[in-house]
Amino acid sequence: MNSGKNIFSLQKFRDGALWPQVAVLAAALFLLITAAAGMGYVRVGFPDILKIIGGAVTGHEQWVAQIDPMLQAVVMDVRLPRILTAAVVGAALAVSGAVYQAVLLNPLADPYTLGVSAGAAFGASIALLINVSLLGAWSVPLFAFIGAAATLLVVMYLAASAGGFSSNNLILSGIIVAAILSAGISFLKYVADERVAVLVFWLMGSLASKTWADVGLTATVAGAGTFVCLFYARDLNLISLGTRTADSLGVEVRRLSPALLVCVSLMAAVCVSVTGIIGFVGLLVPHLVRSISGPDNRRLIPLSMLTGAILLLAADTVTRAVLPSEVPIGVLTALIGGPFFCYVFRKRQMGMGHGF
Amino acid sequence: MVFELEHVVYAYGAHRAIDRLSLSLAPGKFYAIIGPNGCGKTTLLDLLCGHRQPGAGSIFFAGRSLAEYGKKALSRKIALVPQEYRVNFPYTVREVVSMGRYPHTPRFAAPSSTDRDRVEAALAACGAQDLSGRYLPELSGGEKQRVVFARAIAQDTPVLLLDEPCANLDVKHALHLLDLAADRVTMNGATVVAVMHDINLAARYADELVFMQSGKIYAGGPTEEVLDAAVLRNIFDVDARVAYEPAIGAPQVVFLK
Repeated sequence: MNSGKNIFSLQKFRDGALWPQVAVLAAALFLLITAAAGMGYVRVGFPDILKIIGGAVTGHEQWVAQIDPMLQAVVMDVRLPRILTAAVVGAALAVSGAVYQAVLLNPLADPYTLGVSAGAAFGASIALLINVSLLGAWSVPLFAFIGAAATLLVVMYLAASAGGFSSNNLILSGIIVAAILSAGISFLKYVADERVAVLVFWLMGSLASKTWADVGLTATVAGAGTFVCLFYARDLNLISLGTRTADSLGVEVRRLSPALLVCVSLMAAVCVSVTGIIGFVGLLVPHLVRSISGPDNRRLIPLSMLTGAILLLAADTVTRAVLPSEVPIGVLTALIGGPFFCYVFRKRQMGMGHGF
Repeated sequence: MVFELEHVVYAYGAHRAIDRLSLSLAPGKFYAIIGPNGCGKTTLLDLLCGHRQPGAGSIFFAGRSLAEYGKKALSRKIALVPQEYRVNFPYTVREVVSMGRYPHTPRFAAPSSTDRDRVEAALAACGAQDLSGRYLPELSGGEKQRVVFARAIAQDTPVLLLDEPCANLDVKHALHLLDLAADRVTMNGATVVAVMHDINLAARYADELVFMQSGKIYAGGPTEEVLDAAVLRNIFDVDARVAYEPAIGAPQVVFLK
């Protein structure tokens, strides 16, 4: 990929209007949601899905009068919460990855490689283990956020040098801290006794048996967080070129950078608290989008959001309805994302990773 | 005065990089800041553009305390060409130069025709049109430097701060970029403050030289008056001969030892 001539001639995706790309991805996401709602042990036809969802959204009960109530329950109470959680978590992880990368000037940053996911998991494990309920449904997310924020602070402290953050220091610190935290989580598992099953299953990352409450929680935080990131998307372009540059072009870097890191850490922490650790989505998706639509965050963030939703929902649908037995989604994304990380890292080492 | 600094102190831990420094810079002039490594030149530029705040003393910009300006307002007045331009993302040259227009464009607005004209003009002025579709991380150090310079030109500010603008440039491009900076001084009445290592280039372009040593101003004034062998001997510990060079109408230095 040299001289700006891309072999796939993707320039139109970089320079053209944004809305057609958003519209295509949004339509694809909607189709995938309806298709996924019909797939599984009980098959539901496409027209019935549309009627059930349409009826629930608009309140036209006569639309669903002809449909077996059991099918309605399967779609509305079992599948849709899981599907929507998958889409929202995928979107939130992708957005948080894109923003981490821009703020830390590091294309390899994401909640997983920075150790933020492990920190959130550690915090959430403690909450699960001692069965905290002081804040109701928000207790586990709150502990997850505290764990995530503390981890991010430690990682940034370890990686900081006089000249700011070097790419490699940051990832290295993230890995060190994540290793310590995973030992901590192992210890928690060891002392968990009979509650260990809850912990283990949750830690592998799973979207099974999600409820509308989970959808509401993740959608609220992800929606608000994404809105903030979109608002500052242009400033993120400048931040991604370095503090001096951003500063001299009118960005309050010292305030905005930490604020955005807190914002996306909150998003990542809530995702982890609901689904366990789902790695590499935040790394993989922004890279894919950047290679097609360019690094401008005004495009990158909305397109990553939709692409993340599509990819995680597709992966979850494969493990739920296509594979003979369900593989935990966190395992699946790590199996696909890990090698991809190696590929990106190698390309960067060879100095050819600019298109990505 | 564009800038007025009074007894400014800036310390990294216990080390005072800027030590009770006072300085006045007038509008419409080309200033070159010269001094040995580690004498606080880059820190001084950081203070002038508001990137760092002084630990003590005061900095006035156009009559008001620099700290009173918002970042947005300042970015329409002062452009900086920093020394560091590690770019980790595949922005094209045109995209980076376009960022120079951000301070002039509302957050969600598309670039106006003025914005687009300014960007093209800046690319053309810096001889970077041929690069405009290329990705920043692929460029050589000198090419990147020209692009960052073009961004500062597109930013279209009355004050231009340059941190070793010619460090990576071949002589042709160095002369070309300094010509551009000098043009902004003579044609637009802009003020240029450049940290420079090459004393002969500084002497050729700068109206006034500012010699720094250990965080203080050692000497400052019109180039012909201030540049002599004694200053160079005291600051850099080298023997030199300074002679007026009629071909360029400026004093030039030959280093003897």
